[in-house]
Amino acid sequence: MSSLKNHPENVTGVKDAPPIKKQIEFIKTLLPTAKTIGVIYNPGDNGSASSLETMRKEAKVQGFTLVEVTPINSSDIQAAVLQLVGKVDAIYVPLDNMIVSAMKTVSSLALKHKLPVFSADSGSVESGATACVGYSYPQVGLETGELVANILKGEKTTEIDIASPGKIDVFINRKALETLNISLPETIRNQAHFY
Amino acid sequence: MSLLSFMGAVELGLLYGLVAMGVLLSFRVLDFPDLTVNGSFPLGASVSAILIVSGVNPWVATVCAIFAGMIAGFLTAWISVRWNILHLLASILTMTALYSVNLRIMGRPNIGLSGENTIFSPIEDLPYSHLFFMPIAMFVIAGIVLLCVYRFLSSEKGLTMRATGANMRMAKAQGVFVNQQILFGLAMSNGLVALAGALFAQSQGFADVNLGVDTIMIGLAAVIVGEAIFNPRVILTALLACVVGSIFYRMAIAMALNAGFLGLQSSDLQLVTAVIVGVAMITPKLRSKIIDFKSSRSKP
Repeated sequence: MSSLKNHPENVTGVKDAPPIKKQIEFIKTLLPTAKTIGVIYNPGDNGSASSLETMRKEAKVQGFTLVEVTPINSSDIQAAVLQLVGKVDAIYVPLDNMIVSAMKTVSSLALKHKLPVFSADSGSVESGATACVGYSYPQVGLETGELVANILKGEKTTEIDIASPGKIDVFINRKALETLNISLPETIRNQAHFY
Repeated sequence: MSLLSFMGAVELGLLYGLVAMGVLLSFRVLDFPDLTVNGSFPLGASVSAILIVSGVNPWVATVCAIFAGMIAGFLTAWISVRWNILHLLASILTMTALYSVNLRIMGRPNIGLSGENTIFSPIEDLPYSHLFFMPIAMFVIAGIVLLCVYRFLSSEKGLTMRATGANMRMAKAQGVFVNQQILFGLAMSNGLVALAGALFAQSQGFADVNLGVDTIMIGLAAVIVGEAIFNPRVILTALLACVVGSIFYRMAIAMALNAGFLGLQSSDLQLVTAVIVGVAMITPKLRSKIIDFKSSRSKP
């Protein structure tokens, strides 16, 4: 695919790649004093590798230092989290198969050491991650459905740009937030989904 | 390395010390390279995890996990001795099958255990649990297991098993049922590995079907690093050496996780781990070479 505007004739859709820029901004909103972010990912995971590139750029722009730890095996995850304790103000977990499936471990360990965990996917918040800004899958489905409806009505696929969903949701884990003693700005509290 | 990650490495090293002792039994004592452990480690984790989330007492779940591992080891040995199939191939068969079995047991690729009642629950919520109490608990468990294995290997039954591995033809000639020894030895070895798997699931808070991918490598590395450091001549030192080797291996990983300071990329972790472990294995040999060299020069 050459670009999101100029795509092959028979392909279009709604993109659900995590909005990394917004996610880092959100860390800033929630933790104004945070300076360093720890990132845990598996270097063998293609999804993480590509989001890490964006992540590094964005972190630089927004004035954060990144500390990367890369467990290659689920048995190294505990060591990876412990490695970050005392070095970072928050942990960010990208869309990484291995880390996301061990999210309960990552978040409970991080919480024990008073570190908030920000995830790239909303599902992780349910398994203990502190917060996430992202697209809810029902929302992605809804907008894709609208696209399909438009095509059925006769709109050409070439005229529809591939875009992210129009609405971004905030997901918050109430228990984690209370443990960490983080106060939510009023505007976020009103629109957030709580678990 | 911070004290916290140091203690974390000790905790995990002691846990994998059980795997190393299992590998020592199959690989060194019985001379049977056994890859079943790649399946029996996650088997122990998944059996204990599914039982715990179903509300079974965690101690009972751990014992069930041990038995599951023993069955897996027994199966490998049976395929090998009954059908005369090469030990490596027999263990690869069981290892491959166990992947599907583990998925069936859990019903999904992984189970989270945080918040469940595990054998570590009483100490987990104490302050500084990862700094003191978890490593101490692991130390006690590894110590008990080490003593049991030691007692067994120095008993008459254990000596028979060691004879089987040392010289099978001689053992046969002495009237030892060598097949029986292999069946029992592998069951024991994989029971130990499954116990480690069950403890892993409960201390780390999850069981995952991909947990076992390089269990045999970790186990072997621990055994060989231990041998390089201690150069053991008796069985007790050999057992101690593989636990220490396992802790060392974990330290190497914890150090490598921190490799950014050398201008290395975080994805170089595996390479750094291999180099650290390699250096540890070569150093003792180098030392003896240097001593040899010096003594040969001092001779007239």
